[in-house]
Amino acid sequence: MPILSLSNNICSESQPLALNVLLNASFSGGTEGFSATNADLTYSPAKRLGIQATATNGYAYQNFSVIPGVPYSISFKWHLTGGGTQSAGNLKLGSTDGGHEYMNLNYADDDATYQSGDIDFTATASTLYLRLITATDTKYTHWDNIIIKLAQE
Amino acid sequence: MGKKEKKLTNEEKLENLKKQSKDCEILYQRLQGAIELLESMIKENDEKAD
Repeated sequence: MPILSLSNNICSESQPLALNVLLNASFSGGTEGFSATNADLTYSPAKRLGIQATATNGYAYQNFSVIPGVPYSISFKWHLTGGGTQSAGNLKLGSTDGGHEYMNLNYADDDATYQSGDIDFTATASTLYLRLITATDTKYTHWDNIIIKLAQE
Repeated sequence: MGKKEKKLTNEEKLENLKKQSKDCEILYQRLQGAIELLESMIKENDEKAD
């Protein structure tokens, strides 16, 4: 499409560009956009989201809109702080609150450094639910740069 | 004599419009991504110049 080619040329980008459909997923503006259940959300100077569980499987969540039948990609960083405060975690992506038909990723609590994920999915629903879970009460998981956008053409 | 065009049914017209609407949504998300990237590049350049 000519307009898209033009916009890509302007930006000198070799990859197609697309809007991140999540709100504030770089966490440059605090924890805005995410809500919590059985967890306290923290915002660190490193501009990442901390999820401290206040019960087993406490979580942060955000609902967002996609175009059904069109491929999207999700990329994100996941981090454990160490020092005995870290928890195992889980990322769920589904078409219902708590659903996970598009993604259900589990992380052990011995991942001491930033991990990255980059996965494609195609939704059949227009509203999706992202849930970031901290498994262990009182402990933390940290997340950053969560990007959900149209996949490459 | 030109070939007579097939008249679309209302159902076919509706399907065509839905497809065009979906294409517009895709275009919107691509353009918004380009706009956001350019805005951040301009901001970065302005900060360097200050």
